[in-house]
Amino acid sequence: MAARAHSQGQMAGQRFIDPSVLARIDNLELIARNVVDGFISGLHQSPMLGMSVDFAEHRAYMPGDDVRRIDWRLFARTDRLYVKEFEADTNANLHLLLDVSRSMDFGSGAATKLEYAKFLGASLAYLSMRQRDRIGLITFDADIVEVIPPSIRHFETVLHALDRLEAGGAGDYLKPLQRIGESLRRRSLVVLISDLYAPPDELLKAIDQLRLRGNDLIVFHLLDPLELNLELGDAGSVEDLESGSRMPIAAREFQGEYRRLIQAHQAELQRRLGASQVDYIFTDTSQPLDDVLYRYLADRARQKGGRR
Amino acid sequence: MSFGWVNPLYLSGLLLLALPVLIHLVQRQQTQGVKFPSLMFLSRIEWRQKQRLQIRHWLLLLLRCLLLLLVVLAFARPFFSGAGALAALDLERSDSIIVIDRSYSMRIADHWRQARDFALQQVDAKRPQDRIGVVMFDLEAEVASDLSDNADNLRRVIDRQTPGLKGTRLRGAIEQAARLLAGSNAQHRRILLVSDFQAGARRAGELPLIDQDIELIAHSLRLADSANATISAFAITAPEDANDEFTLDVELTNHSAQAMTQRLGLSLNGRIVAERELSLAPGAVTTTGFAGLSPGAGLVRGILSLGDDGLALDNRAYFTWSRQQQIPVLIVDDGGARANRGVYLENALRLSRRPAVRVERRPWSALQPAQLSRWAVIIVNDASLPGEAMIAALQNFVDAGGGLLVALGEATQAGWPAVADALLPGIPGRRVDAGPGARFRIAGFDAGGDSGDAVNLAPASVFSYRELRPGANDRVLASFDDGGAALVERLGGKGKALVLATTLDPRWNDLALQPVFLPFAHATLRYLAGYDAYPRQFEVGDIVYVMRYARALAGADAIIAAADDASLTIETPSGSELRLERDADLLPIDEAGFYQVHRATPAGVEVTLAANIDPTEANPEPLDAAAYLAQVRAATLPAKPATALTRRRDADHEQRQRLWQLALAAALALMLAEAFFANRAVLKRYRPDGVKA
Repeated sequence: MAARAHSQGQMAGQRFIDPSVLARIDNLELIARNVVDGFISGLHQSPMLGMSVDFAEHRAYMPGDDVRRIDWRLFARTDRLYVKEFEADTNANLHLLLDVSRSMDFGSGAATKLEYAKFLGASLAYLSMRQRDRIGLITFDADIVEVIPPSIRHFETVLHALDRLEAGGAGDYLKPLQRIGESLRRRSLVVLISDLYAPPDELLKAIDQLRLRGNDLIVFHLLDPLELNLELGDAGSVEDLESGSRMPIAAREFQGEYRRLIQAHQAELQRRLGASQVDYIFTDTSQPLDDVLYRYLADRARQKGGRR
Repeated sequence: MSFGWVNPLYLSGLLLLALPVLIHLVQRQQTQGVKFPSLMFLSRIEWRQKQRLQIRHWLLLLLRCLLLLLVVLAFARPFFSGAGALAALDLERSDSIIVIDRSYSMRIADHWRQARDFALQQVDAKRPQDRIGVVMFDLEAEVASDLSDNADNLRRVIDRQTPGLKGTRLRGAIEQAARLLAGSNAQHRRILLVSDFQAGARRAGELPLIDQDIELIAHSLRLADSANATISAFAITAPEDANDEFTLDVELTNHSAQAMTQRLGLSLNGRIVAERELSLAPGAVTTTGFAGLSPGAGLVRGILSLGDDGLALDNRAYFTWSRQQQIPVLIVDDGGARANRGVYLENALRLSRRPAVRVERRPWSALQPAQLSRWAVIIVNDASLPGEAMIAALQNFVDAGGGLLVALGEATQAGWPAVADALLPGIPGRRVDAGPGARFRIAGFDAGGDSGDAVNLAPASVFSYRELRPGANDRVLASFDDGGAALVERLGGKGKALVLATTLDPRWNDLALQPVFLPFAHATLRYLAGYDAYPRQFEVGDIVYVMRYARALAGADAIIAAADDASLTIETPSGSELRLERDADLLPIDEAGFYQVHRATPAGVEVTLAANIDPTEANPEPLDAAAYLAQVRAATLPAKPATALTRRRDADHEQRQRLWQLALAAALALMLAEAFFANRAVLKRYRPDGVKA
């Protein structure tokens, strides 16, 4: 509620940013447009950063590239297909890495973590499309589930994929992120959206698979409010969503210790990811999207500045 | 006011109260797990069992414990006993009915004094709030006093009673007493049965049905071994060949355990005609007889008497006898060579005893029309019809109530003369022969509903008969097997006129040679005479239908005729007079002796009937009172009817135990409340803050 008051006090169009309102809209593009346009209209500074038409480099032709951009002269000289890339086109590829493991399909409010992740992903995709960034989507649980390579025209594809996302099985980070890292051909802006249920060491090891290949990483850590405070009433036992294993609990008695553990986990992740030059944005699914987007753009601006 | 439990064992069910406590302590182990994204952090939390063994949902626990408590209490059925709850029952009062035997056997020795003293003792011993009723009984039961707490009145009622002259019947008395108690609301209800309990007091198969909770107490009087001899039976026989003479056989029983010598006297019409001394062995039956008694014409009133003994009442026996009680029958034939044809019928009729018959056989030529009224039945056997004067006399005879039977044969002509048309049924026709070697059979014979006689005539073979065509007013009583009418009756008038289509001798059939001829002849005679097999001897306690008795007596026509238009006056043995209207001719026999029935006008003795006491009542053979009461209780148990009192008691018991209903109702309400709160708790437990998973 505090977050909602914050957004209402700052921006117009806020009524579309509240997750509980967004959960009732069945059109991801509409959600993304409303969130981003409403959010941008409240900014004093344009989010279109680093736009340019200067030639930057050639790169090998990849299936899916626009054939009109093939440098035929170079082809004549080298007998290989290259496409020209200009400065304006060199905005980083945006890879949305979405955790679709079973644990994401949990929510105590209007939207589950997965749904919140969809809204967030769609908003980020829309925002990137407005910046002429190429947008790609990779979903994973214990392995890679679906891959949509980044492209300037893949906005709708990404939205469609997001729309039909369903939670998968048990989750893992090392294996899928390693494979993703190997598949990224060039430096990209990689946005990881997950609940990060893994020991920090394991998480860092997995994230390093991306970071050490020169990608810029932003990690969105999503948790439901219930996961933060363990308000389970008189529940006598809990069942793991992913493994199905059960354990008896005394929720009220466990609350204090649990909160301490989860906060320690967040702090550890923040500290170690920060040390690794990885931006860490924590949010719970009750918070408005604008706040998350604002923090994302701030990180993005910082990355742009750093890259120049 | 006290408090108790109907089923205290059910209180052990309170141990069940431990169940909800245990469930509330450990229920979380059995509850469905709440789905949670990851147990990563929860699994790191140190587990302490005591955290789980804490009772949750105190309100639910309380509701459930209370619910169990109420159900257990309802099953244990608490009850209150106190004045308020017992308003319907008077626990302090006792209602008793003293049932006193007043049969004439109570006159033996001091039985009656014992019975009265016992009843008075009961009245004296009663508490002020107790009530007593008095029922006197012999063959019938009579309420002498309804339930009353007025001891003085009860004493007066008991003092007023005297033993009667009738026999004993226990069932009616006990049931009458039970009816009096049916309206009682006393806690203790009892019947005190005071009797000498003779074996004859219980009729075969008779047991009273009374409420199960009525206490039945027998006070059996001590039977004194009193020297008593009884005229237990007598019989009159009148030889056929001795006019106005009869024989009297007498049976005497010595009911005592000592030998007796008794003088037996016989008086006829007030004159002692015989007397003899007899030695009677103890407990033995002795028979003796008086033969050749000829008191003269008319009605004989006889009295048998014994000398004094322990019970004077059974020492006299009354009887009547009259030669007039024989039915006079005339058999008419043509005389001459055919005169002997009627001998078969004559001999058969002479053998009749009930009724006795006096038979004459004459030809038409020896009869005058005015003489016909001397006979009750006239049978014409294969004779030609007489002249018109005689036929007119026959018509008068039948109209006055006489019986006429005409048997057709060779002497009969086809068709009746006109003067006989109104008298005789059917129209005779030609003779029908069965032919050589063939025969007809008579399909059936029903002599009519009055006598109830039905005789199977099938064994008889009929060789010839005369056609007989019934008229519109005729009734066919029997038929031949070829469909021809065998016996036809003309309806109308007081008397009866029958025509038989074949002979009553062996010329046209062998009926007279068959054994069935005897019952056929007797049944036909009774039918023609309108004989009523009404009893001739009566006992005290009987009810006599005077008209039926008169009809059963030959020669009582005057009474019957008088009853048509006049009332009857009856003089009882004690000399009092009763008047009976024509339509209400029931005469209760209350005394032993002679009842004389008169026409009111003109005056004159017409019929006398004799009444005696029941000789079996003098038999002191005892009934096992204890066994009898046991049988009554056994018979009562399975067929106990729900009386008003038992229903009231049941209702009162239910009233005192109705707490169980309240407990169950409260338990039901608690169950609803528990369901509501439990539902809320479950929703809160399984869907905390609306978890989606």
